[in-house]
Amino acid sequence: MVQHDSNPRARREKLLVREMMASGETVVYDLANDTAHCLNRSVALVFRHCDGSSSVAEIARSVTMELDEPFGEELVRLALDELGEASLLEEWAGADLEAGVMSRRQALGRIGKGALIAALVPLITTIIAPTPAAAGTCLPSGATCSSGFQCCSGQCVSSQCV
Amino acid sequence: MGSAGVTRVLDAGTAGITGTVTARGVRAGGFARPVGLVDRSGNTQWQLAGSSSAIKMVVDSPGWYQVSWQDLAGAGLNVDEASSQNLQLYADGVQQPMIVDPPAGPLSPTPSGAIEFYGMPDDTPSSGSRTYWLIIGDGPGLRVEPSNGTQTGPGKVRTVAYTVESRERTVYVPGLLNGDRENFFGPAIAADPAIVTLPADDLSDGSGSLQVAVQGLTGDPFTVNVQLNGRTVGDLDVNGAEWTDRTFEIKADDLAGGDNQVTLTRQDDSSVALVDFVRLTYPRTTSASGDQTFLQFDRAASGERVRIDGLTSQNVKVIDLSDPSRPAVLDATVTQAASGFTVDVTVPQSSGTGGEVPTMLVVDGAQAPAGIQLNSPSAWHRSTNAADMVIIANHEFMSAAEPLRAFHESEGLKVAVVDVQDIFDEFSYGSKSPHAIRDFLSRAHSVWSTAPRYVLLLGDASYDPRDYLGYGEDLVPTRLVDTDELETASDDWFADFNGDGVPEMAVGRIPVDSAEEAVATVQKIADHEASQGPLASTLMVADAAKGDNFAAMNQRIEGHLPTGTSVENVNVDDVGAAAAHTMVIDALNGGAQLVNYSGHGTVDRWRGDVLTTTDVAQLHNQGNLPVFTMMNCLNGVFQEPLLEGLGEALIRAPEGGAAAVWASTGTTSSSLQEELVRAFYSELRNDPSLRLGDAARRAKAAVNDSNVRKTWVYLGDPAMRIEGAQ
Repeated sequence: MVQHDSNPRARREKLLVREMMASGETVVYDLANDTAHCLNRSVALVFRHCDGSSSVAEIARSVTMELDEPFGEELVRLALDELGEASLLEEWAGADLEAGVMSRRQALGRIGKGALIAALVPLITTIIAPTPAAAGTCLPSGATCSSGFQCCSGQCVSSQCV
Repeated sequence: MGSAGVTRVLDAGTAGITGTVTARGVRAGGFARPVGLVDRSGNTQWQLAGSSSAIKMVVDSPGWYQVSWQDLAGAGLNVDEASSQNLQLYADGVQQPMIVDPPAGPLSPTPSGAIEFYGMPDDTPSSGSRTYWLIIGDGPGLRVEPSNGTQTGPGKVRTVAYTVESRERTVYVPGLLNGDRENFFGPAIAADPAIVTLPADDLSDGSGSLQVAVQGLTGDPFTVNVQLNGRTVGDLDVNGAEWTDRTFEIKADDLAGGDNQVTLTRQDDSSVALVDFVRLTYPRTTSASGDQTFLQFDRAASGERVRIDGLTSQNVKVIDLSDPSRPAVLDATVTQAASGFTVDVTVPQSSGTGGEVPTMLVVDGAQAPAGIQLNSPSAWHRSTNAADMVIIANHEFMSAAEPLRAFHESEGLKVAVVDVQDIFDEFSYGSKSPHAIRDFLSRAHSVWSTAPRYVLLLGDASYDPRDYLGYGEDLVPTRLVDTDELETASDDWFADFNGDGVPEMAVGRIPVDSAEEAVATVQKIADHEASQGPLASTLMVADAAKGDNFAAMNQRIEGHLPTGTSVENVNVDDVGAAAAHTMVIDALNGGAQLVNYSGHGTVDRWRGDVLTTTDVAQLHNQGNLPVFTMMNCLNGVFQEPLLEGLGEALIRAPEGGAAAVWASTGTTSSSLQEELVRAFYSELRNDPSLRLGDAARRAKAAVNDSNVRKTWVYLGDPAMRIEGAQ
């Protein structure tokens, strides 16, 4: 029987992670399936704190401090749900309990509306990373490249955008 | 065996160590320039560049050079006229000392003679070589003097600290904003560790150091574990996307004779860094290493005797390079040993004037320059020059410029065709440098009796002017500048003398890579200019609205087009990308004379593949070459040897393509691009006889954004008009 961690742990294998300093977003490129995920700031913070040793409550406290806004366990669970769906979490013992997690709509209803509040609601946008042949704009982190000019970062290392 | 006071050796002779920066190589580092002064007035250099009898010798690695009379005579030195005492050697406009054999008298009876000198290459982002100029002067030239040594006896110093360095240049990173420093680095520290190999021969007792320098690329701080031959020597903390170095102490036991492997491993799963250099300093015997061995000593060792063994010749020279601008031959006692020869010599005194440390070069065999040739005299600095247009061409493309020169002279412009090497000779002592082109244009602008208004650069450029990657050197350099997001090419920089981003001359480039391509492309453009009729048809292409409404942008620009032209609109939102692609190709082959694209794109394509470099082969519009304005990102890139830009592909297309392309080498906002292109067309609407380079220059003046001003490049002839005679 496989033993799972009791606390959430972010997947680290075959991922390229790039933080966008200006927006606070994090782009995670999944090398396993050529998929890029854009994590908004709150879910990016949750992702960062999923070290396998922090409980949901501890993560909520850490994120609250870094956002300087209340960020409760329910929102952490919503973020974990999104991370799980994006295959960015390792299996963990609490995952099954996330089945009843509230939706984004419920979360918005719970914590209020408005651009500032909405930005706190965990959100992951997933795209299929384009190849250079298909791109008319810059390529995200992890995409295949032959020139740094093709990459949003301007950095093409070992045929992959950094 | 003594080792007191000896601290460091710099090498240029270990097997496989070339002394130069190579894409995959190991080199010595840290030597000062060979010249103490640079003649900034230009007067001396202009005399050298104007000499029809000067011999240019190109040096691409540090070392002791020897050139025979036969080689000099073969290059064109008139030895019958030369008196050896009047031979003079120059670098950077300053006379350099040399050894001349014979030291006096006529040269012709002594064909076995030679000159010898210490040569040191440039090490700039543009050049890894330096030109030494040999002339027959009016008086005696500077000579290398013997050092007045008084000590004798066997050497006691037998160990030195010796430095070898790996500085690979395999990755170019345009996304790194680091000013004038080059954006080339070595292997990546990513999912796989970087492994660097350094040779360490003739190991001795004692400790050493390992210096590791990396450029971080990712945002978060991270740690790189450093191992030497499988043993961790420490960690290097990298503060995100910054350059960082650290020096680790090592023991002789950490090293292996021969190759030593340095392994750099990130301690997380996502950070990426590139190796700048790895420098190993280790205790080494004073054995000679190859033909030339650099030895650098602690000041405390001055006056001590050192023994160097492992020499193959008794004709060894030991040169004092403590002040590289004044090398001196040291007294050396050569002794035959059981195997080869040894030499005992006194460590020179440091002059102390420039913080120099005692340094010597043991020469067991001299090297030859990378190139020797007779100077082709030029005098483009003179105020008596006059031209409305200057074509700066790679030497191989000079004759290809003729059709455009002839066409513009036929319409009353005075045209000067200038070999770019002449500009380097007059304005950067012979070394390749974009600054030389700017200095030349600035001088022409201010002192020529007729100041040029148009500048055409005939030849491709590269972000890799030193050809680290092996795709060939650039032919007429560009200037790489930092913008808000990336380093990229800026040709208008050459004529932006007051630094406001708006050039004082209209600059264009025909980015051709071979003489054949130069002939075909220049002829294509000259034929177009000579035969073009009135402007009758315009194609406006709009990308799908995604954030910006590109069709609306085109509509606004349409109101500023020159009068009398029909307009065909192709909007991706209306017809889809695939149909738009077909319509664009058909319109181009149908004779569209003016094309504007508003939308997204990258180096080689418009978004959705509405037009790509691979489409260029389908264009057969030789009789109606259009002018393109491309309001997107990066279509103007011509400096990328690994990926052809759409603009340069259209210009170079043999059976059609474009007469001119105005596009950005960078990323600029669509609203600013619209402002720029609207101003461009307004200028042409107001005066259809305006030359396109003038319209582009005035349009830049109307847009107060530094990224737009820097990155928009005009590919084609800047003196071309939008339409021919009515």
